[in-house]
Amino acid sequence: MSEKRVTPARKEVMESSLELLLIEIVRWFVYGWKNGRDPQKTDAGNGSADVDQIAGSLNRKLALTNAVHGMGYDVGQRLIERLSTDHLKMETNLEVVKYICKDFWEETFKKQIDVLKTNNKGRFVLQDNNFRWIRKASRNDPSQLKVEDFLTFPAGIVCGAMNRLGVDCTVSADAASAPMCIFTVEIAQPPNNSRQQ
Amino acid sequence: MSKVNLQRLGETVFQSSDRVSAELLALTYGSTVKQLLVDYEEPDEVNKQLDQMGYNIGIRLIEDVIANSKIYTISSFVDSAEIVAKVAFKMYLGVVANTVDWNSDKTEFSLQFDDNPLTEFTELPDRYSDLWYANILCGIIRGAYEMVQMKVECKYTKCVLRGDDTNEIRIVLREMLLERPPLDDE
Repeated sequence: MSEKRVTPARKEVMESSLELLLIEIVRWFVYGWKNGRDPQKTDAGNGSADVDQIAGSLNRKLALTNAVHGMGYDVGQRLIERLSTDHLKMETNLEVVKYICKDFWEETFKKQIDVLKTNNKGRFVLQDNNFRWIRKASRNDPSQLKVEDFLTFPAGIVCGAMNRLGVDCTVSADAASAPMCIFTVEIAQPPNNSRQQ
Repeated sequence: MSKVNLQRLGETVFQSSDRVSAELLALTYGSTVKQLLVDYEEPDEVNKQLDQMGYNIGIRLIEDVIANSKIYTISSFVDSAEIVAKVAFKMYLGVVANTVDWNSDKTEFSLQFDDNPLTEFTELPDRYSDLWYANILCGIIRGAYEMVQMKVECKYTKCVLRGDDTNEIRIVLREMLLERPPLDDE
């Protein structure tokens, strides 16, 4: 069960490498700053359609955010394929959530979830009191990048991982009290409720 | 500092830093390349975008290098090459690179490294044979050099994903920039 902990060939890189890449992912894909510039300022139109422009830029932001969520989702799926192989089959949604909060969180985010709450109707609230992936984000460019934008990618990771473990869900994240972050998992309820809670 | 001392420094900084699994970096980087391929389709264009993305990282990374390695002065381009190979590569990627094939003027060299954590778990489909998968590294090196007043060109010349026996980046010094006060400081 605990064999993976002693695997000798685990390769490591400095955490900064990942942090620097994550910041660039947010700048590039969420904000669309391809050359260090804000594209919404450079491709402004003739100024006659302000409302359309605002709506357009909101849609654009949404599309970009979705792309980043998708990138995280992909990573989550592939991570779980590598991590959970030596784990027992998880029968219930709660077992999956617990695995995510402990082993998966530790492997990916270097600590475990601090508080787990549920309404017993498919909503799980995962609270990480000191989420590592926003440490650099909140120090760098605080005026330009919003901390919550740094949670799109990890929320995607969690969603992809859960999905790979057979749980259909959506994951949203909130950083209103950063560095504390809250990930809310809403599990889709099948009509026949085939999985037990 | 001698090569051996730099290697020791790189190792020390690496061991004393917070680290994550190389897998996590590799998968995150993989998702980035994949999304760029969706956005730009043409491998050549993706190479350019990866370089630009790397540049954006490189200009910020240099502060981190200095803060961690405590190397405050770089006396020559030759010295800088060893710092990139023995300290920066070890720090960030956990691997050491070698500097080879210097030209006689000592303004060009190749950075060689057998292991590249960024390319782990990756295979290039034939249709992407023109892609330099880890091209972000070229941009990072270029950006970091610019911050220490050296204008360089970086080009991937060998990549194990393309069937080469090693990874190689050619780095050419184009210009030593002079430090001068900014023209418009508002």
